[in-house]
Order: sequence, then structure tokens, then C-alpha cells
Amino acid sequence: MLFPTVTFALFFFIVLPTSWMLMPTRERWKIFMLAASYFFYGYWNWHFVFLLAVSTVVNQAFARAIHATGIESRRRAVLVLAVLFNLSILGYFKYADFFLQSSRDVLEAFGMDPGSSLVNVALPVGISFFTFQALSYVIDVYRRDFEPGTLIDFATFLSFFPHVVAGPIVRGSEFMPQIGEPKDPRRIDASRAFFLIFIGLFKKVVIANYLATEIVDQVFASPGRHSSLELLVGLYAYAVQIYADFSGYTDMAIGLALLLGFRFPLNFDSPYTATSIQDFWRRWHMTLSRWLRDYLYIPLGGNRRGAATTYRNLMLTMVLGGLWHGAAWTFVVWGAIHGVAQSVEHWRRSLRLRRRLPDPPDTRARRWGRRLLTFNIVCLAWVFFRAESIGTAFEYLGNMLDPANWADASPLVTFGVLLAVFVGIAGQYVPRVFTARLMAGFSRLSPVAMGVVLGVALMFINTLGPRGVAPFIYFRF
Amino acid sequence: MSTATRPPHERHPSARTPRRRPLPAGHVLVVMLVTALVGGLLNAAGIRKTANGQPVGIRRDVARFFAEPLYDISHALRMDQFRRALQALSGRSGDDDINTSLPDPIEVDRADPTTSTTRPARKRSFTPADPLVVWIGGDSLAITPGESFVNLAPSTEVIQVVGDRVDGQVATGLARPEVFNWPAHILDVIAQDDPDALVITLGSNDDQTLTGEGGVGPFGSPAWIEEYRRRVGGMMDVVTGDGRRTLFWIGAPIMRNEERSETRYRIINDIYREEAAKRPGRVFYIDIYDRFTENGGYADFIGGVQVRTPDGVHFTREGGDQIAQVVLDQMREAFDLTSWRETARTTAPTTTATPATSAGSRPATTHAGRRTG
Repeated sequence: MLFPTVTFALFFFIVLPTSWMLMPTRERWKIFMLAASYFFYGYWNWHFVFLLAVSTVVNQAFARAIHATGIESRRRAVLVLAVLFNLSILGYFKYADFFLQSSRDVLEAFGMDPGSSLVNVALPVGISFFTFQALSYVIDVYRRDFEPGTLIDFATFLSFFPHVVAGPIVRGSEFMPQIGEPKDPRRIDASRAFFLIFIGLFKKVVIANYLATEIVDQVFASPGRHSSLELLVGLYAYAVQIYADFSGYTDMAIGLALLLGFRFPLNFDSPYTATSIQDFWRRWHMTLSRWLRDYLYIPLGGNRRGAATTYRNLMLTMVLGGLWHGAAWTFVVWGAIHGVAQSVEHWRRSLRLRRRLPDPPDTRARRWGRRLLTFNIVCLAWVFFRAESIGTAFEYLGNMLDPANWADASPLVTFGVLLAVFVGIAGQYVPRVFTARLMAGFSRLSPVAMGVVLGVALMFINTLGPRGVAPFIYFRF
Repeated sequence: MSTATRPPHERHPSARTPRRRPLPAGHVLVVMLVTALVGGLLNAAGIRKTANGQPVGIRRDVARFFAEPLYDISHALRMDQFRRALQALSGRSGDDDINTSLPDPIEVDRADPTTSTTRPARKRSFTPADPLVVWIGGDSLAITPGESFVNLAPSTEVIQVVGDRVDGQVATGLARPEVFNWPAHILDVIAQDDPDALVITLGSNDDQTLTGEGGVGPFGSPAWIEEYRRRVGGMMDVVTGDGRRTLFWIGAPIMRNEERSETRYRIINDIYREEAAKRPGRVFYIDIYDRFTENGGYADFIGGVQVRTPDGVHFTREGGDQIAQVVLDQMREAFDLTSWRETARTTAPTTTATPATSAGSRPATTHAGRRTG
């Protein structure tokens, strides 16, 4: 079930009032929300509901087993089993074909017949998200940061429909205590919730889908057939498309959860205003970057064991972060570019510290220069993220930088495309004070007036967006 | 960093910013209901179109049961005008129109040379200065092979693909004109781009009850076959009826669901083959069904190369490249795409008609500047 559909609207019309009516009897609420979430998830492919259920039961058993014993070696052994279990699920559904195909390529390179068998298994929607959430739950219990909840609490958390398919990657310690908190049905932060839902819809339906159909899909399908200008604008358009697509989804997820009385962590914070790659990762898919930081980078040693280990850890974290997105070498290169860029930033910083040089003055021109550089490095990495293969990515960059292609006509670079790219980037520079005032003003309207405003907004979004609902990019991750 | 030195977009709302007023759950529900009502009335035309596009069955019936009166009310209150005006402003007038009429095949008058079914004696010649303009499109199975064809075309130096893009319309066919009316769309393409040849891939979504004008079911019944044959023939004649255009029709490939392929797509492909045979020289049917089989069945890999995507339906880039090559070979049989080279060689010292393009680069001849007819 996709958020921007009539089917989901009908589903939510039933779930919202029922949820608030059952809230006083919390046990009934949990059963209802679990059933609603499984229905939502199973709407794509009901078979995978069993996978989600098995993942829930097994991870809860691991968490309970860790919590039940004080013997460190036993706790550690169960944790290793839990990690292996979760990585095996991911490995089978997500990476089996990647490894088989890579093995085939190696065999072929040595002139051997690789046969023709792949696992060819369908990828369960949201598997990377709920597996990472389950892993963080077990690890937090192991670290004694958090005590395991009941099975129904954990099941409700893991399957909660606003975040089950594409995040944000919420932690048990953030969500599960909220289940037990008293909630006042007379004090819903509705203006912020509706603002997030409608901004998310606009980003997804109007900006992301428009750019995908008008330029991005075409330039990436055949980069050899497009002018340098089309390829350059197409690349910037993809940067905006993926931001609008993914942040639009999580905006809607956060808004829907808020209407149900739950708070999710922020997942995007104007990422294209970042002044360094490190800053970018503090603003882009924030729940994934903090997961990678807390459960991978810091346990590897972080930056505490010398320069060489820091660079290794940065590279490893970013490459694995790339692989999390998908089983392809293009994602490995994407992660490696981010790893190298962060390593260079780290090296420059440490060099300055060693030479006791002062930080350069933080002027406006300097800040904009760094923003521009960061944005273009991020865009360079997006080429590999989006391209079908590494060869296509290099073809894209080669054609884009070829001076001979600059003179070609660029029919895909239209006013509409430039406007959508501009709106997608400029929107990240809108002062928060402005949006806060907008939400506050909206909250003063009567419920009927609010509905009229939102109904008109719905007409603009529905009319301006391309026909049909394209799936969200991050559903495949 | 203090708030004062932060750039404006990063400054957090100050204490002077008015606080948001929380709403009771009942009021939230009222907001949602009013939004649905107002949004529904303003978007009624789009909702009606979407409802009609649902798969035939109870879901579509229910959707239409609500959508049709909603549209009637919206129209009576003139609330549909806003959406129409916005569509006109964004250049998308007619997006919500539902056109279910489908043309009949043309009754061939053998005395009329423009509708003759005999094969033309001479192949039409094309040169870099007078390129073969090709439109390529169809359902989702057209997209990857179409992109491969767009990439392959420059190597011929005489083929120019309309807009350098594939006109792919996902989940469409001839079965459901209310979802997408291909004959009407093709008429627009012809009027706007005047292609010499069209390459269309259809069929994979057509194994269902036929709706729209002449609608009939169930799939595969004699009445269904007769009506689908009428639609296919009508579509072929829409393209080639005036004798100025050639149509290359790519059928459905075998899919991982072999039983469905054998019992459904074989029937659809047979209709394409038979209807194309009635229009020799005008319509070329390209059979790709058996091309993607190994040991008599569906195969992901052909000759060690993965040609199908994991869904068991669509093509990988390699599979697309293979189909593009087959289409190009068929075009080389149908047209004279190479004699200009001989002419250019023999007249080289005196002529300035050098090839406009080289492999891998875009043709210099712009589509707007091409000849007509």
C-alpha cells in the first residue's frame, strides 16, 4: 500500500479513529495496531508477513535470552547468533544474486562455464529497514541501554505501518516507551502533522515524479544520446528527485505517526545546504547515519585509534552503507566516494590541528563555496548510485564533461525542469521560522477551514503530478 | 554557534513564534473528511479516470460506483473547472478525458494504391540528410528494448528516433482504452511528429476482459478473439492506412509463468501475426516469444548472458540490446538504409552531403527541420 493512494486514505480513515478509541485500553490498541500494520505490509505480498513475524519472534527471543543472563560470554554468544540470523535474512533476500552474479563473472573471466542459476527471489519490501531496527533492538539490550519489552510491544514497534517499509529507522528505545505513555486525544499536533504529510506529498508527487519522467530516466537510460547540458541538469535533477522522493516519504511517515500520537526522529535536515560531506551525513538519512555510527563506526574504533584506523573505519562504514542500499558495485563506488571525501576532510582537519593553524574565517562567500563543492561531490556520487552499471556511470560523466557535447541541443532542459530543480534546492533554504509561523497560523483555523485549504492543496498536487503513482525509490532498499 | 550567527534557514523558531494550537482527535477527523470532500470534488475528473482504470472486477465496479456521481456533482457545481484550468496552464489539457472508441480496420480497396496490400516493389531509401524517423513505444516491455534502440540508432547514421526517447506507457494495451487509448495517442504522434516508421510493443497486459467500445469477455472466448482482432487491425490501419508509414509490431515474450505464456500470450501473438500478414509491406510482426527460450522453456540466461530481470517479465539491458538488434535487422530488410553510402562514395569529390552523424553522437538533423511525407 502506497501512502499517496485512495486505498491508503481509506485505510487511514479507519485506523486513525479506531486507534484513538482503543488507546485507553492499551492491550487492545496493540493488537489492533499490529493487525493494521500487518495488513498494510501484507497488502504488497502477504507471504512476507510471515518473514516479518519470524524476524520479530526470533529477535525477541534473542533479546530475552541476552537479558536473562548475566554471563558475559553467553550474552555475547547470543548476540553473535542474533547478528548472524539478521545478516543471513538480508544476505539471502538481498545479496544472494549479487554474490552469485559476481562469482559467475569471475568464472567467466577465467573461461569457465558458470551455468545459469540465480536465486531470483523477490525482495521483501522494507527488509533493510526492519532488519536494522531489529538489530539495534537486540544490540541495545546487549549493551544494557534498554530492557526488552513484551513480544507484542516489540512486534507493534517493528511492524508499525508508518515506518515499516522505508523508515525512518526508529530505535526500540525511542518508540517502545511511547506505547505505554498516556496520550491525550484532545492535544494532537495536527497542524505540524498535516504540514508534513502535504509537503511530503508535494515533494513526491510533483517534484520527484515530474523530474523522473521529464529528464532523469531518459538521461540515465542513454547518456550517450544527450548533450552535456542535459546530462548536467539531469544529474542535479536526480539529486533533487532522490531527496524529494525519500524525504517526502519520511515526512509523510512522521506526519502520520504524529496523528496517531507518536513521535519519530527527524530523517532529513536540508541536506543540500551542507558545507562538508561530514555535515551532509548529519543531514541526509540521519537515522541510517546514526545507526552506522553507533553500531558500526564506533565499535570499529571510530577515530580513537590513529589516523590509518580512522580512514579504514570511515571507508568501511561508508562502503557498507552503500551496500545497505543495494547489492551492486555501483553502490559500493557510491559509498567509497563518500568515504574518500570524508577521509580527505578528516585529513585536512588533522593537518591543520597538527600545524596549529587557526580555522579559516567563516565568511558567507566561504560557506557558499563549501556548499557548492559539497553538493557537487554528492552529485558525483549520485551518478554511480543511479546508473545501471559502473560503465554507464563513466559513460555519463565522460559525455557530460566532453566539450564537444556542449554545443548540442538540449530539448530536455525545459523551464519546468529548471523550476522543479530550483524549488527542490531552494526549499531547503526556507527559514524554519517561516515554516513554524505557517504551521502556527494554520493551527488557528477552524477544522472546516483547514479541510478546505488542504483539499485545495490536494487538487494542486494531484493535478500537477504525473499520472499514476511511481513507487518510492527507497522501497527497493 | 549561536542562533544569531546561524544562516536564516537554520535558525530555530524563537519564543516569539506563535505556538501551534493542538486539535482534538474528533476535529482531526473533521479536517480529514472536509479535505476528502473538497479534494474529491476538485479532483473528481481525475478520480473518475483512475476508477475506470482499475482492473475489471468488483474493485473497479465499487470505485466507479462512487466516482461517477462524484464527478457529476463536481461538474454540476462547476468545481471541475479549477482542475481543468490548472491542467491547461500546465499544458496537460485532456488528461482526464476518457476516450474508449477504437477504430475499425480499413476495408481494403485493392484498386487504391495508398491502401494496397501488395508489397511495394522498391524499398524506400533514407539518407543522413533525409533520415528514417522512427517512433518507438508501447507498454512497459517496450522501455528497455526501446532505450537500446535509441542507443543503437546513431550507428546507422540514417535512423532518427523521435525525441530520442521511448514513449513507454506502463500497464497499457488495447484491452482497456479507458486506461490509455493507444489508437488515439498514435494519431496524436502522427500529427505531431510524422514518423516514417513506428515500433510498438503491446500484448503483455491484454490477457483480460476487453472494456470500452465493443468490450467483451472473458479472455480467449471466440467473441473476445474477434473483438481483439478488430482492435489490432484497427490500430495497424491507424498507423499504416494512408500507405506512408510502416509499423513494426513486437509481440509478447515468454515469461517465467510459462503456463500463462502458452495459454494467453501465444493466442495474442497469433492474432498479431495473422493481422500483420494481411498487411504485407506495411506491418512487420516481430516474434520474440521463442527468442527468449532455452531447452524449450523460459530462461533468465541465454548463452550465459542474463536477458531477463528478476521479475521474470521484463528485460535486462542485454535482453533489450538483443531485441533492438532484431528490430534494426528487420528495418534493414524493409528499407534501404545503406545505398546512400555508395552514392556518397561515388560523388565524394563533388558533393557536400557528408553524413550528419557518427556512431554515438546525436544526429545533426533536428526533427523540427525534417521533410514531411
